[in-house]
Amino acid sequence: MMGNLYFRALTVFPPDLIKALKNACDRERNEIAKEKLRVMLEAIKIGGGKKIPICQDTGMQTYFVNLGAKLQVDGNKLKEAIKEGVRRCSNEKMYRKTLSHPITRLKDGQQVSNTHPNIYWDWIPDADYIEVMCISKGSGSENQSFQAMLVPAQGMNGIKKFIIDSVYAAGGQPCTPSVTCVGIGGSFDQCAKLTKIAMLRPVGKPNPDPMVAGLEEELYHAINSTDIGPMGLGGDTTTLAVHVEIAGVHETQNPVSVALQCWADRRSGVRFFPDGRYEYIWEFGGKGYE
Amino acid sequence: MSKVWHLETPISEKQIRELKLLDTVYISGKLWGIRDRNLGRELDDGIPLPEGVNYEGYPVLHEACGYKKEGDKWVFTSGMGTTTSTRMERWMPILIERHRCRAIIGKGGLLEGTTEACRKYGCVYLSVVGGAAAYYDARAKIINVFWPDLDSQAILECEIKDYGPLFVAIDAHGNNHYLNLRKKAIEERQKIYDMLKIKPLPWAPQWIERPREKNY
Repeated sequence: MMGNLYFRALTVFPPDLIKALKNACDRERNEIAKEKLRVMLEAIKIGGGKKIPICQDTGMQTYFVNLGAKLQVDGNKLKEAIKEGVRRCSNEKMYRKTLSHPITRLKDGQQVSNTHPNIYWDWIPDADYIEVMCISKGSGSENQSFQAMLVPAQGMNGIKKFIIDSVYAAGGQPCTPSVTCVGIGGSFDQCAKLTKIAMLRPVGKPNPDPMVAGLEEELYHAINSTDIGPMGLGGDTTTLAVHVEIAGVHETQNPVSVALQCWADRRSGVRFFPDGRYEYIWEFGGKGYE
Repeated sequence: MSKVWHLETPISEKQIRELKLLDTVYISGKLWGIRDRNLGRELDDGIPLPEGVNYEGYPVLHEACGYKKEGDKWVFTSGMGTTTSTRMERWMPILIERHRCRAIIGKGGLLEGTTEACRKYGCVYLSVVGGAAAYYDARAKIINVFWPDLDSQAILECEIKDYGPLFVAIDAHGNNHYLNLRKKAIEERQKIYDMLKIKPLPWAPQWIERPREKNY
């Protein structure tokens, strides 16, 4: 099942993303950019139909596990299941093995190690089910991630400038139109993690906090005015949505992280019930299907 | 108005010089899949290309292939697609000069060195829609793999039919659409700052200027 999540993430794209791409395609005034968006939509159709990965960069896998607090779960078994699933899926389908040693750069031909996939754990109060989400993110976009420890004097002004400068520095390299995922606040590592949490959100779903949602809206229009466009060749569509997540922060810090997720925004999720039933989900706490 | 071209390989220099920025191109015939490790092996380590590999007159593709052998045929598993070209910038001018490949296919763009080599020797850079491997791979087949010990970094010989749409992003006359757009974007950055009411920043103490632009 855990391997299946990886497989589904690669081949079945979220309906919210398809809708965002279609809307962008309808709105786009630049003919070449429109053509590019059409190819993206076509690729999603072909990949889903043939059950093959839509993008060749099968990426690196991050799993988020939310456990119902009423359950007693052998967490280690669950962790092993996730690893085994990724190992099996990538071996059976002979997907590209992206996992390398960071110093020697060598691969051992497996898509799992003692540190990969990266798994985050959390709890759901008063629930008796488990939710798991998988993000598989390629390197073209992951390489376009930026973080800065600004000082409080720079305030929101500095944060906005950093986000815009990051978008310019990345240009078309993250396979734009991107989903601009931003983390504001928290500690150095928490701030980076916020960008992944932002990525779990359906494309274009605003942050429940109206102040944050307003910032998202403002940044969305600004980034789409840069004329970077799909794949960096110009156009009205540079980002499909801006997702901002915030966390409390030390009074003398002001960290910001920007992760530009490619248009191939691959995520999948599942909810397990205690009686063994399961259903697929597109977001934590979301409606089940199939 | 941009034109649509259907090219057959091998492609002549004359044909390449006719292409204009942002023309749309479809290619049929043969292409070579190249990437970091096999470029490094030839151009850094000085190991000659294996027998049977010849880029002259053909397009080369910055690929990211997952493939396997089925009987005596090669098939895609996670697909071929394209990887970011910018990482390969340091090898491209010398590859064009040495092998006279006629087109480089990739995403993300290339920089000044390649633009100059394209002008001098008659080559173009064609941009694909990145991430859409499922779409492009339906138009390509692997016929041979060279240096298979490099696994996903081997050289691939592929047969292609109507491989496209590809968009001319660097032409053979010294124009680079990515660099043009970038220049324009940076000039207009102030407009975006004004939209967000970003004021000049107060000074923040930093011992050294932090690198923001990536060097390849």
